[in-house]
This record gives sequence, structure tokens and C-alpha cells, in this order.
Amino acid sequence: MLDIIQELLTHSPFSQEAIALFLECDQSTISKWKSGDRKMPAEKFEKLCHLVGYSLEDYAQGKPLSIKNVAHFRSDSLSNEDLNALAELNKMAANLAMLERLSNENK
Amino acid sequence: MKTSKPNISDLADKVRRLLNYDANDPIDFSDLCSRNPNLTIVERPFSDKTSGMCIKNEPGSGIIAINSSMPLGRQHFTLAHELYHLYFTETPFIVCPDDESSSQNDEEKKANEFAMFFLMPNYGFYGYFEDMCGGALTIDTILKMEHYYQVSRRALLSKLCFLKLLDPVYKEQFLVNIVRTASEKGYPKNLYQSPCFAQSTTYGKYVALVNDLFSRGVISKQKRDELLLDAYRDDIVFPQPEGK
Repeated sequence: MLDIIQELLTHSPFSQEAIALFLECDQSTISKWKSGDRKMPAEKFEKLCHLVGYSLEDYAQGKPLSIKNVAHFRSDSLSNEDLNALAELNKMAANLAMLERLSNENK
Repeated sequence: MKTSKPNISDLADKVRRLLNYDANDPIDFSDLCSRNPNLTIVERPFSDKTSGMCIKNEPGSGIIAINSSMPLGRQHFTLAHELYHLYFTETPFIVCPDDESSSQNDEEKKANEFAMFFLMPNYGFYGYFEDMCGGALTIDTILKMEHYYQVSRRALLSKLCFLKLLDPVYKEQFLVNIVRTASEKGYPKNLYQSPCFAQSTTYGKYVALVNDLFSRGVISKQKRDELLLDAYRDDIVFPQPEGK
């Protein structure tokens, strides 16, 4: 899990400051999660996964992380409100992928 | 044989045809999801810096989200703008800003141009301008046209300037007291004004699939409710009695 957390935090297109605000924690806590000095709580991990479009289903299946090519022109100006919206939409996209898979399997 | 790249106007016509819209009429977005069964539309508030987002799996298939705290005219433009991304942008995830930075990016510029052609196709626009408005550009003409096409004042004036039906020098005079003038002339204000309450909801493929899989016993009631609440559909999970 540490590898994935490091990858999520290192390759995320968002600044550490923005991620700290989004996860409602200090930047120093992010650094500790990244280095493995502190364990990341499950709910924060889930929230971070949604932000970068990596589903928990992917994680459960051991799929490698591939952060989507997020094209948000001026990512530095995305507000915390928009990061929350983005995470919720990514969660819906993951739900939709699961629904499509179930639909195909149960035709 | 060398083939030329289609221009943005052709792409807008192509999507109109794909979605079975008439070549010239105004777009009615209310049934967009039935015209494209692979589309899910999310309406929810974002910050005032973001107008919309698009997550696509393949061309024409995915989720479009629009900022429901913006005026209706702006929301229509965003929906048309995001359709460009859904069909033609290669990036699977796009967040679209609502500011000047959008004009710095090629793909955003193309999406804006697409939206203008998609909402107001040249031929139909000319025809309406000549036939319905007598070719005279007054505030009454402008109000009539923007309500016919359901677009913002800024979008309509850009189109008029693009077709050289309005000299850009005179554009500014039509950008003042928009809401007051429209109200006095008897038009609703929602095309220009942000709603008092920005709703969050989802319609299209996502909701249909959840209910289809539940009705076939593939997912449980608990899972159905969870998925619908993720999509802001508490109105389905906790239905209110319908009036007669």
C-alpha cells in the first residue's frame, strides 16, 4: 500500500498544498505518509484515490496505478471545491465502469 | 488520396446529425441523453472558476458535468463545449475553466468554437435573422434570438460578430443592463442570472443502468441506493408522493 500512496502523492497533478487542503490535513502529515513514517488512514486513501481517478476496485485487483492525463488548464488555480467535485465525478466514473461490466456479464 | 481535416463547423454538423438534431433548429438539451444512450450528464455546482468537466471512455461515451450555479445560457454553452471534448478531445479527463485562460489553450478554443456552431449553425442562424427579425439589429432582435437559441448575450453577440452581422465596435452597448432590459420586455431572467439554488443531479446512462441492474436482481437494494446517492439522486432513493 505504501508504494501506491507514494505513487499517488508523487505523480498527482496537484500540488502538495492543494492535496493537504483536500484531505484536510497538514502538509507535514502528507510528507510523513509519503515517507512511510506514518500510516495513512483508509478514508484518506480512498479520497485520494478518487481524486486521481484510481478506483478501489483497481487497488483490490492489484492493478498498477495509471494516473489519468488530467488536462485542467491552470491546475494551480483549481479550488478545493473543484477538487472535491472532481473526486466525486471520478467516483461516479468508477461506479459507471463497474455497472457497465456487470451489465455485460449479465446480458 | 489526400483528405483535408474537417473544420470545426463540419464537426458541429456531424454531432448534430449523430444526435439526430435538425441541421438548423435550436438545440433542445432536455432529451440529449436519450439521443446518446452512452452519455451521463451531471449537474452540480463548482466554483465560479470552473464551467464544466468531461470524463470519457471512448468517443461519444462518458460523463459530462456542468456547473449548475451558472446562468442557463452559460450552462447550455458549457454542455455544447463539453460535447466537443466528449467526441473529439483525446484526453480522457478534462476540467474546463470559466475564465480567460481557456482562450490560451488550443483545445479549449476549438471547444468554444464548436459550441458556437453547434448551438447556432450558420445557415439556420442567417435564416432566422432574416426571416424572423427582418435583418434589423435592435435590442428586440437580440432578445428574440438569444431566447430562441437559449444562449447568453455574450455568445449571441460573438456569433453576430463572427458572421459580420454586428460590428464589434457596437458590441459593448448590448452588454449593459441585460437582465433589466430582458425583464422589461417580458422575457424570463434565468438565461442570464445564476439560480438562487444550484441543484445537483444526474441523468442518463448511469441512472438507467443502476435501476436496470437492480430490477434484474444483479445488484442489491442497498447497492442501488448507495450508487444513486453517489449520483445525487436522493429523490429516487427517498421518493416524495407525486401530486395528481
